[in-house]
Amino acid sequence: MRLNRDKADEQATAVLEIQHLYKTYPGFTLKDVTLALKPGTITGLLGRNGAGKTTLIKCALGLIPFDSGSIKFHGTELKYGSAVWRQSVGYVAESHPLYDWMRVQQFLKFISAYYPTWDGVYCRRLLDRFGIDPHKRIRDLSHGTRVKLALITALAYHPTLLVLDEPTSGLDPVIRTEFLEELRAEIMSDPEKRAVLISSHMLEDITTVADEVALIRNGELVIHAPLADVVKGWRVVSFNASPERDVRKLIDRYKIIRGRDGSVSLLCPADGLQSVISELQAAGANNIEIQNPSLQEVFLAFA
Amino acid sequence: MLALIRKDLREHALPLLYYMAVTAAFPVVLALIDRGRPSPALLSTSFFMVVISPIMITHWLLNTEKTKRTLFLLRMLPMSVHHLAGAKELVALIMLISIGVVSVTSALTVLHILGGLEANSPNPVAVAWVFIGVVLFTELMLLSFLRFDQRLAIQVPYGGLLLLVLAYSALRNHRPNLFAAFVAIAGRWYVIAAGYLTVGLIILCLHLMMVRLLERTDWSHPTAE
Repeated sequence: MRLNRDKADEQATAVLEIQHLYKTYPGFTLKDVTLALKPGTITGLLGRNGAGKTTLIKCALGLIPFDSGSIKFHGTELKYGSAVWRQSVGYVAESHPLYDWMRVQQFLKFISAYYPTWDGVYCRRLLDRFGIDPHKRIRDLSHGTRVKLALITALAYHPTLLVLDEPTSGLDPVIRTEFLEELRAEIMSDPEKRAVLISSHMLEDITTVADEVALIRNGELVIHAPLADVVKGWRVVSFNASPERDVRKLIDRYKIIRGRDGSVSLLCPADGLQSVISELQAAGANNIEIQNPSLQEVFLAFA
Repeated sequence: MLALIRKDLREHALPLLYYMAVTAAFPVVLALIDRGRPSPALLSTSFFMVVISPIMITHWLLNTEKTKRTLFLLRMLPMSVHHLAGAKELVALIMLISIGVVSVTSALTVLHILGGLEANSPNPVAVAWVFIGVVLFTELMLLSFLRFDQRLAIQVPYGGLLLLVLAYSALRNHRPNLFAAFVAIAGRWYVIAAGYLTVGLIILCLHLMMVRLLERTDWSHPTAE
């Protein structure tokens, strides 16, 4: 059950294009990942802990070497070790490493030296919007404010690719909303050139901002499709079943997303729904109900 | 690169100034203890401060960045790892020279005041060899701190230093003629030049190893500590 984008369409104008990427660690392999981020899109990268999301991001950004494959940025193949292209890439890492001894403005000045396109006016505007005092020491900032500062440092030079690794974990709903609004506003300011890759366990966030979804399971990309297609392409079929009847064979063929008190819910492809219902009825299932799945249900089935 | 050099100098200015003040004060304190007589301990203490300074400097420059994961932040910047390693090396050299200059100036000043300048002033040849030796030691420390856990990192160059001292003692006591021959040629300019060239090549190799390590390690990972 693989749901992937039309690759020819992706490769024509991709901001970042990853092809057949392999990376092996002891006990883990990122296998043949091919993913393209189109301009004007926010792609949500999903997967369970240890599925390979952060490894994929670090390989894509040249922060760790990969075994084979290729990565292109605006059509130019990247050589491992080259760093200049990162002037156009914003990255908010999960751990948000910052210099605690610096004041906010000192830190921003330090970072700005590396980005020729640094926009001081925009940076000040973001500081105001997020309510960050530039004179405060970083060690005195709360977790949420540190995350916002990390986002400002990644946005202030208008990168064409923004990569966010679990950016909203530990943030309260108000800050998360502000964060996601700014993200959307930033990409809409120049949709012809910009793309965002956001890795998150917060499926609500992905549903709110993402246009496309990429799902990694055990190092393999199992889904890459527009968010609407991911949800639209599937149905949740709920029914009551007796374990001893033939319905068990059917259950084994599809993804079980819920199953308790004799009721079972399966995730089935929308185009094969009719045959599933017929088979269920033939197997003696009763109280059959059909619903549209949420992203979480698709995630639970595939991750 | 300049921004990183400025950041490092600013970040470590206070401990550096403190270390320099202690280094400068040592000869004065020793002179007072020795009741105004210049002693060999005075100069050897100054040298000792210079020799252990690479450990301090490396700890400031790399160990802190590793444990606080800010090395990962630096890796994310659009700066090549050559620049990153080069900036750290340059800052280490600036700190080393600052400490060395303060140490030697302080010792010479005290000796001059005590009137023993002629008898105990450091030999320029010895200073030249000590300087390049300390620079090599610093580079080795930088690589060790980057590669190993701090506790192990300190042992690596220390082990080398101990072997060097043992070799020096063995040569001096058991092969005095050979030792005398070494001492005789150590002051010749072409020997010094060859020594600097050799050490320069070793430093270049260590720099490349450091670059490779910076490039190939995931510095966001807690085990990088």
